[in-house]
Amino acid sequence: MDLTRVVQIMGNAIAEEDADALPGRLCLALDEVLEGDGTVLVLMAHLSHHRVLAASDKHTARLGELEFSLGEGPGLDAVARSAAVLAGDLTGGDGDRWPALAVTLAGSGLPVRAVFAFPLQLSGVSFGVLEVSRHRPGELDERESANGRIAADLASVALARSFEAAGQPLGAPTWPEESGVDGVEVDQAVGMVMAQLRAPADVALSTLRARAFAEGRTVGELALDVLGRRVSFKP
Amino acid sequence: MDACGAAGAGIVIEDGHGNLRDIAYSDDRVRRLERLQVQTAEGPCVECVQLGQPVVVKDLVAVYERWPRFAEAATESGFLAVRALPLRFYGRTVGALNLFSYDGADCAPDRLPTAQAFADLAMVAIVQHSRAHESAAVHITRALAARSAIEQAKGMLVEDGHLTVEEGLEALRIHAARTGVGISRLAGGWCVARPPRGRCWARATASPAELPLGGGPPPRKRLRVQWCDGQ
Repeated sequence: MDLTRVVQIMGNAIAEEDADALPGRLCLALDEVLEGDGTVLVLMAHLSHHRVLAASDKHTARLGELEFSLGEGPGLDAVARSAAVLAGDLTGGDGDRWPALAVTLAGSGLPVRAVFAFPLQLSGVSFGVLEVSRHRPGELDERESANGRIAADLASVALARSFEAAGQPLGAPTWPEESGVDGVEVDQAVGMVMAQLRAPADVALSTLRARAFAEGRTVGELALDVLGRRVSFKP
Repeated sequence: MDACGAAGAGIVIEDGHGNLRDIAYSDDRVRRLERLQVQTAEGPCVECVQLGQPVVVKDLVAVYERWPRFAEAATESGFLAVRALPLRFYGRTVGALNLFSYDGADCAPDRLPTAQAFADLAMVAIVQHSRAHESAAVHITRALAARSAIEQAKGMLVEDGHLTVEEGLEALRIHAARTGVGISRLAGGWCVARPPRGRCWARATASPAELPLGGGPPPRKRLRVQWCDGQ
């Protein structure tokens, strides 16, 4: 795909009037640019924070959830390094890079094989990630990865404009809640575990991650049980 | 250029001293027209940078009085229409993308998204490696972290005060109003620091629900928040 087409696809996704649906349109645009089977858009203030804004298919949404739950994966690495992280075969040749993710994916029956993660970033400061997945393994060629970077740059500018429009200070746009794709419950559960353990947020999140991993669930699923007071970490 | 309907394209940016500089052009005609605008401080791209808004001219002949030197030079080069799109971000206009056309029809609104995306791309290419965008990214991460901290603080109150999530937020609001500390700062303070041992943040007493006359939705529980700062 040539650059003009990439810019056209992104330009149309960004320009549409319905601002609420921008994250969803960006996911679909990334699918088109990289011939992906699904894209998930995650905002991250830092590596212990995770707010899924939109996903174009449920498998990729699940992948994003698993990565955050396990604390490893191409998306987290892309944010940590502020650089694209490309994995042509997660359960094959790339299995050593994120062993827990590879094992979990293989056991989960998710059809995702290749994942290409592009950070949402401005001047080297990341605030999230766009992850495009494919059911077929295979690396991106040079042109495709350049297109992915350009698409993510344009998405970054568009999302940043939404924050700009939300005003000051600490303004953030209120995107509509989509069931199953969020991170608010995890934050609330982290707060509850902080109070239970009298511990800081990172310890509370690690505790939730460890329990979720041991039980073969995601942090998001466990968070609902904590909020429902079915699970407590009170010593 | 084809994608957004243009026969020529160029970019001007504002340097650190507030002066416009022509930095890119598709051909020599465009280079001369940009240079002319920069030197005479008149023309659509100059106005676009000043206003931070797109400037669309469908018919250059009609603007002979507004920009005499530019309009004449542009029509002599064979162009009939011009669009100037701001390279604008976070309240800052760093320059403009100029698109020159042989036909005013190129200025149709449906061409604008692609043209603006090219302008954005030019902007990102210019400033992605500078520090110009850093404050925008920092604003975003701070805003996200603040919202995350509010949810965590709600969770703490939910646990300690045996509240619902909605009551947790209300308790947080009540305390923020009482102490005069903003809700974000209050939550941020709790979540950055380790929660103190044995401290109870809030207790809620829900008064019995008053039944509305003639049915209707049940009224909200009344929340009385009691703050215990003691150990």
